[in-house]
Amino acid sequence: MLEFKILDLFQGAATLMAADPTIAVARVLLMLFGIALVFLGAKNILEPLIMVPMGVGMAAVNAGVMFLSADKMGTIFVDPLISDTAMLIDILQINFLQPIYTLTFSNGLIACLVFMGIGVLCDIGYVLAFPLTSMFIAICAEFGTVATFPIAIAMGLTPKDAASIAMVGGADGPMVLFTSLILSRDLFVPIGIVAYLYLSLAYGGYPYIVRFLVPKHLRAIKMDLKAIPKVSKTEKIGFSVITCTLLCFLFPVAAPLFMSFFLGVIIRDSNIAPFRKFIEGPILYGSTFFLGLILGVLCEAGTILNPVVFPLLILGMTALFLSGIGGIAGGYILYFFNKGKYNPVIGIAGVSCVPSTAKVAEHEVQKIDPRVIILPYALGANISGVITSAIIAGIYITLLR
Amino acid sequence: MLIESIKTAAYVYFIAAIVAIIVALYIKGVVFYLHGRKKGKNKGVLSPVALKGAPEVKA
Repeated sequence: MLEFKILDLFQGAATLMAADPTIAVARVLLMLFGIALVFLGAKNILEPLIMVPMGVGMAAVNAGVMFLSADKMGTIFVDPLISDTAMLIDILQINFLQPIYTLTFSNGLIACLVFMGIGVLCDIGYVLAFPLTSMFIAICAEFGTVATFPIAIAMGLTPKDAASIAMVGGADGPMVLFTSLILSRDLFVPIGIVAYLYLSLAYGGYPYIVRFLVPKHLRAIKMDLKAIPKVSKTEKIGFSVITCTLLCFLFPVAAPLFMSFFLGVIIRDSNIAPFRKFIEGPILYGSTFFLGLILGVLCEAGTILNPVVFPLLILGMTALFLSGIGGIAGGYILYFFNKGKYNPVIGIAGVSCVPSTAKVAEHEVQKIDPRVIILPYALGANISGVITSAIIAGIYITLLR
Repeated sequence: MLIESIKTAAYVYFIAAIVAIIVALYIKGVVFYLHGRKKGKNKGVLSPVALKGAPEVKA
């Protein structure tokens, strides 16, 4: 019989023993954290579509560390740091998730595909129904996206990294990924993880901001649903194609995002059923699944122990918090401007986590008075938020690239 | 550096606001033009789906 040490057989345990104690502890904690994410996702406490694959990936990648050579430990999941072409070709044949990472993640394709799916889900008619108020709310709700930038600089980040983490304030995962892939390639993994973790938490945290900042009697303000004009499909398509062209013309660096979003919108309103089913089914769910899984397997202990992760955690939370405050402030401005006939809760929907924040707004007013319906107004602000986030991403990338 | 970053942030916000206003005014113009011709025939709740809630998938 061959002679071997028992730990040679169980390399996950052997690498845990051989690793630096900090890394070993971090690995164990990340395995537990991954399991917790799966549990919280499955219970619908966190967003299950992202958190379940992300949690499984996180637990598995930190458990599955092995000796790649006598003095090198690693996994056969994915290596995000490979840049040399020859090494990349080698690694593409070894790491089972490397093809998906290299061909869809690191070039922003997956972000664009998710954005296309969001476009298919969005009824642009809500923006066309209330363009000025929707855009006003949305730009107010971008407060965190710009206010976090100088805060991040003050905390020692470079302008490119500061802009990438500030984009978390837009509450749009694909946008954060796209911006950080272009501006701060070294940090896009932790930024992406922070963004998606917080976006899941935003759904649970924003109701408290609404309750704290908007008194009950203001939350019960009824909105006039009869004043909402019907918008034809032709108008929606016309608006979408012209706005897409205009925004691509103004910000070519963000053109893939604009094109993906408005293509989704146009397919929805063109009644091309096969394309619509394809994008809102296989494309959106497939992209979301692999996005969660890849983010999970990128959560290796070595990546998470990067000293810059802690400031990113603080800055991500700051960005989302300030955007929420900005959105509510916008709601209040419209409340005073309309002489008390505008529900300020709609402001929170300007934070473009489609359609979560619109649902948060609707849910909060319905808890006070079930007869109050603000969802059409909230969705207008919500979808405008997607457009303003893309505009700000385009400006940041153009200025800082 | 901090002052410069505040200036940059203000600049970004200003440009974004201008572009958003241009987009909003463009929409407003389109809606006014199209709906002005229809003289109120086009009134009503946008979609019954709106009252039931949006799809579950999010960004």
